[in-house]
Amino acid sequence: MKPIKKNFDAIKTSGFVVPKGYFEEFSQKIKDKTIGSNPLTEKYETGFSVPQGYFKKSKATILASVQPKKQSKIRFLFNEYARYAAVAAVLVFVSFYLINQQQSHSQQPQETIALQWTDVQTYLDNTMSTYNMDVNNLFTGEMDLSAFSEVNLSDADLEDYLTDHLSNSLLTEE
Amino acid sequence: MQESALVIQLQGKETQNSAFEVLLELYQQRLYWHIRKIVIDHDDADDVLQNTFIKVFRYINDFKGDCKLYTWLYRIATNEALSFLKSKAKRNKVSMEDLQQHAVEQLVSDPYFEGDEIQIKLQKAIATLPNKQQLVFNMRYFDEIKYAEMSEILETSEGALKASYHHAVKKIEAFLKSN
Repeated sequence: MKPIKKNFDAIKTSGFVVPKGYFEEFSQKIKDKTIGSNPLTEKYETGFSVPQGYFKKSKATILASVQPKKQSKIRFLFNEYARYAAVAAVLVFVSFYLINQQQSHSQQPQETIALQWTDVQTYLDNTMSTYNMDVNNLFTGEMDLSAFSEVNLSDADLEDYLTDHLSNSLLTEE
Repeated sequence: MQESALVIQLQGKETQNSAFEVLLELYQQRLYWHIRKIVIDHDDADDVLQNTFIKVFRYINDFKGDCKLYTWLYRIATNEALSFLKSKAKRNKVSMEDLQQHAVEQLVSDPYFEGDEIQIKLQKAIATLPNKQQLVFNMRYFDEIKYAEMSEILETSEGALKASYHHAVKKIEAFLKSN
């Protein structure tokens, strides 16, 4: 068999012609008939987009979430000795408070005694209105006994005197 | 930096923080786009991306190196995205499919979607697929991930993945032709 001669010139001059732009349009026709019926043969993008600067912001947010916050150095306002001074001041304050409490408690009985004494005095004044002697003098440390040294009273006279001048309530009071 | 060296640094106490920044730089965008294709909405994708990297940071010491680091990251991102959709659907008392359909319907007015009509149709078509098929289609068609790598990420055989992709393509083509 004779080999086929590759004589393109001979083909060209075979007499056949094609419409103008035929071969240029041919590829598009084929595309429409193949790709057009199967859209996925052409590669599409998703169409999704992101806000401007998103990835930079997102990176910073993620890093902030996972990495521990750098702790700021804790600086004490007062030095160590000042802390001891503060404790001492508290103790002193508490001591003063307690002492003050004690003093206020001890004062109360004296007031009570004073009150009681005036009450007694008033009572005695009221009940012993004819008795001229100042009862306060009975309780003083210094007693003027000179008046008694020259008086000779018998027990009977004394008893009579007392019976006449003192009320029964005093005598019977226990 | 080689992956093995990065893993060592990520698992080292002194070097962890700086290594994590490198990891973010390397994989942040890739994981974002993978997540975005699952959840559709940008704000949701942002939430899931953050959760993903927080989880990576927390569990990096559990990474045994039995797969590529990128595979491990992709797996976490995928699980986080699907969990996110599941809980969102539950909160809204709808199915995951309805949730995704709704998200795709909103794309027309989404300020962070710049696609044309065919791209919206494509997203609608993808949303009609079962979740796993969506994943396979997205990873193969958009990300051009090899089946071997996909098999590691989704823990499914290559054969099953190829079949899944083939079915997905057919369904999408049918959807696009009819719409």
